[in-house]
Amino acid sequence: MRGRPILGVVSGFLFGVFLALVLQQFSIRPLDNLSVIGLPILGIVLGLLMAAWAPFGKRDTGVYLEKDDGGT
Amino acid sequence: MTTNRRVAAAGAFVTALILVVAIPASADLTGNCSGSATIDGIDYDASYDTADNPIVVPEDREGLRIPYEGSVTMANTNYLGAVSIVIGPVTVNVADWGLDENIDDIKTTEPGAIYVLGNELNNIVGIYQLTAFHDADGGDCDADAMVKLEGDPLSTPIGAGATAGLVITGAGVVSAGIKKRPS
Repeated sequence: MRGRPILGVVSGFLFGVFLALVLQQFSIRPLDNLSVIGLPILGIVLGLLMAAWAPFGKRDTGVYLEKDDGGT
Repeated sequence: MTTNRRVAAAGAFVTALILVVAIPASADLTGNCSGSATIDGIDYDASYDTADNPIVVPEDREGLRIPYEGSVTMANTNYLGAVSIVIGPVTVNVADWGLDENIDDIKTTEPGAIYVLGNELNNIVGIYQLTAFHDADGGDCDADAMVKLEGDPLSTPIGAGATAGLVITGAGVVSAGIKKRPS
């Protein structure tokens, strides 16, 4: 993966947990099975997708310059 | 990944979110029981059981007087019941009845019964799924209901904390999409 999968899994899981809580607090959806279990799983999937996609940062050209060690 | 594929992936995620939010919880009242309560001039019964059609408790609720009535059509001796909040796959008991009062065959609440709401629901907002049961010698019944406690979520610790957490972890998800530097 070109991005950061561990960060994606952890933050995605917590994102799902907080999303379930926000939906419940704003009276949109109660804390049922789909919210409590489904949204964190969806968050993990989203985090992994973001890590695999990695749309941010410098474009990977595949060409790297070797460090000049001064000819030693 | 092409722009079209990126748009398709984003669209699939949004569609999944909408489906999760839109599917209502199904519930009903089963057994030989009935009950109703009047809150803020609106009569509620067990048909108010979805997120789109909840029992609404107004924001200014301390001291609210709630007339209620309930009845059973079965032998009501040796009864036992409880009401719980549903949190995902588990339920948290919030009240129960029976136990020491199991010899009288009382089938209805007292006429004109009124529950006066105290400060127990202050600083609690949001929508909650409740489940209840009542078992007696003559049978049993179960009911679900959806209760919406009105108020500003951002004024409560849970609501404000969850919103802040959502923003921070959302930034974390976005950060996961930053390319790693080549080693």
